[in-house]
Amino acid sequence: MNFQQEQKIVIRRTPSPEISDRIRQGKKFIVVEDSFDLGNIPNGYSLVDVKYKGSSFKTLIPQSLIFYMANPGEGSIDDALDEISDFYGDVEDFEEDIMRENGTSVQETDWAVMARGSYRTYLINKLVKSGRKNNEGEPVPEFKIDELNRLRLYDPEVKKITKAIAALALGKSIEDVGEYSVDGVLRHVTFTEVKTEQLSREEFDRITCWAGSHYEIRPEFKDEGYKIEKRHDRDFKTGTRIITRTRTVEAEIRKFEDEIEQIRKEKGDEIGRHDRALVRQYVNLVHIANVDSGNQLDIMPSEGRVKNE
Amino acid sequence: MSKIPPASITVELRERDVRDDLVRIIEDMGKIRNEHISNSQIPAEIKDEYLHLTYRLASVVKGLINENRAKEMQDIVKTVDKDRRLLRYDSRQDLYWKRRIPAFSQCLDDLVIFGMGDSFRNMEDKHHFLQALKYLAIENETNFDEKEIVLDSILPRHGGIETHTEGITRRILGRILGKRYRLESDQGGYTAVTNFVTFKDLESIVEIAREMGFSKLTISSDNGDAITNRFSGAKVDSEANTDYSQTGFVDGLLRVTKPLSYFIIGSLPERIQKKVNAKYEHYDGETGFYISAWFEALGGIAAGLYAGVKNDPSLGILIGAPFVAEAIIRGSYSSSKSRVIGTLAGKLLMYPFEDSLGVETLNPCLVDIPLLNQSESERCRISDYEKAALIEMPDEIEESLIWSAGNHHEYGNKFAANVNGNLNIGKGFVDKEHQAVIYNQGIPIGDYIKKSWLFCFHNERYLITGIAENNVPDSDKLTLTGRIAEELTNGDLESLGERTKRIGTEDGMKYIRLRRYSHGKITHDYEGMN
Repeated sequence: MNFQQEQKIVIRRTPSPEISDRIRQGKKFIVVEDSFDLGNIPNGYSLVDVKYKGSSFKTLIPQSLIFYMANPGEGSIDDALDEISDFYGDVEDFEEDIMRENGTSVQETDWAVMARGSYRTYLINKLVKSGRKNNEGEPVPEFKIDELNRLRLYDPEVKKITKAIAALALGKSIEDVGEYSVDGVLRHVTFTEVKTEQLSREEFDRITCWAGSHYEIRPEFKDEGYKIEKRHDRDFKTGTRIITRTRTVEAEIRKFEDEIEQIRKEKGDEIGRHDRALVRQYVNLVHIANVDSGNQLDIMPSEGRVKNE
Repeated sequence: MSKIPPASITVELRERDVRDDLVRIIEDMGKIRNEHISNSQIPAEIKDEYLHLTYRLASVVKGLINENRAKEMQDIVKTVDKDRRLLRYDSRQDLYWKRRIPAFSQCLDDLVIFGMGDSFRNMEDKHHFLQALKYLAIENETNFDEKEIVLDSILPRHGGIETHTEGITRRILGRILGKRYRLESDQGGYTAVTNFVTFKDLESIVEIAREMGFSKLTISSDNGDAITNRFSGAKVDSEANTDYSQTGFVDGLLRVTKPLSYFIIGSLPERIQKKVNAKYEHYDGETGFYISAWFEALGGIAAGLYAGVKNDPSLGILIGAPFVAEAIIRGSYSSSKSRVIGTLAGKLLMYPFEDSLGVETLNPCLVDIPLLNQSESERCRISDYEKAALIEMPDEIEESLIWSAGNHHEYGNKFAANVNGNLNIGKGFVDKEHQAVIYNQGIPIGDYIKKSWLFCFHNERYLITGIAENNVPDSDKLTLTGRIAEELTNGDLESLGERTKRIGTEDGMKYIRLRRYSHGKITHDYEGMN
């Protein structure tokens, strides 16, 4: 490995003749050459040149998207969520090109960071509205009851699950999740997923064979977490097995998210492209941010370009 | 859409914007890490998203660094090259690396402080910064295998250091000092498993495993209750069953050769005696020990008498007395401590084999000791000082910040009461000499302290954030606040940048940021690293 401060990376930019193809494909982040002619800007797009320390990075971006990202929370929330998600997908595609070359780009990164931030703002706007004003005259945010009802977040079963997700994110052990309580939760990490067990003699015999001078683990058991001591003693049959449980915290959070979707489907709901992200944002707002903001669930713009997948 | 953006837009990114991006990226990486810190499996799409975030962090770090910082980064990368275990560095292993390669840990600390600046919040972020450096280090790598190894190692978390086998020299030293242990990690790197450890060594083993970033230490011991009492959260995992069903030939031999085998085994070191006792149905540890001790005493007397009668009485004493004395010592020590002490000769003879032949416990059980890393619980509280600095106070309240003999006793009270009515930022310190109400706090983060001061002068507020090593005695802290107040009131606004630098340098801060506010607006913003 070697680190070099100065290194020129050739970023693949879309040549002008190919731009119309990319637009036809619905691409929302088209990196163009420095020499791009202003006269060639397609309808509905803007040419945005982001400069940093003398370096230029020009992209064609739909004007509607620029509006959404420049004015987070304004305009059609549903359109904004879809457009930003598509945009983020395109940005990540471009990133992969750079990463293939092991390159870096401050400006491209700025777009990705902005997309993530704007997406979260629109999620909040989808869930929350300005309510009545407080003593200082500032509006107090209130949840949109209709949206929460649509996501069935008032359903007692779903409500319990969202609390359980929060409890997991806050570091409660899986065994304690059953209480569905986030009161007084303190961050501590419990690791119940990996367990070391001593082998019984029967199991030892089943997984080993005598190799002349010591026991060896049979090839078919080599990758199953067994460990034995190789002694020149045929009677010494001691070993351990490390068991890795598949019930992990993330698996649980995902399982809980799946459960919410299952409950909603059973009740005839259509699951929207951003619903999972909306539930995550709701859990962050209601249960986590006020307890430990650093433990909020990560939310990235949803994949998939088709609505209501 | 009310406004259509122009067809062509030029945006100039400032360093401050890039730094803001860096903080947001780190926050997102931290969220992913938190969510997956205890997972044995991280889903592939999460790994990919983390890799994207690492690339972004690498991009902004590279965009911000200067030549000096680049050299430090190069040093970090060289260290990783030398010790490849650092490819799987996790901030939970930091105590281990700090002790072994202090320069590596220090450079990484400096990089985090440089990158996060005012947003410096915990030492876990070192993990993310190292991932970014690893990404940058393979920019020119032509060997795809090497690239792949590095990219594979870019993950939101790693476990403990995977193997810790003592070198031969250390092993010998360890034996001399009475420490024999081997730490092994499980597949996910969460749990350290130690083969054998005496209770008195357990604390140091726990400390080593914690240093190495493990989350749990699994130990086989017959002292399960004592361990669970000593280490909070420790619990007995499973009882090991003693199974006599397949002891075969050796057991039969023990039964047939009973008096002789009991004498021999009872003379061996205690751990071997315990092992035989636990393993073979036809050996009774206590009986074996007493047979051995009596045989030794009687044998000593017999040998002494024989030598005394045949040769010289003094020779008889010389030969017999040591055996008799040892037997008495063994017997009395063992009966008072419920132990089965072997003979010195047995100890010396069996010393090289004691580790492999010795037993851990009479009734072995696995005990899990959770190893919480201190840095996990260190989370920075969000300061409300900035909000307080932006509050526009009524003129009457602002005027109360001007000291005169007429308001000597009342000075600062009205202002402090008004701030507390809006925000809960603690009790301000009234400094009549410099005519200010001062708020300050220090949040310890690892080996550092993040200090914030809010100086409220008439129509002026100064918010200072500094990061320094956490070794300033309490007695110096008040003096420091006075010195800064002196510096702030002693000069014009043009020299504020210079004065900020001076405060940072004189008070040994690694990072300092000073913001000046007036009438609810920020007017000056200086930042510096030492």
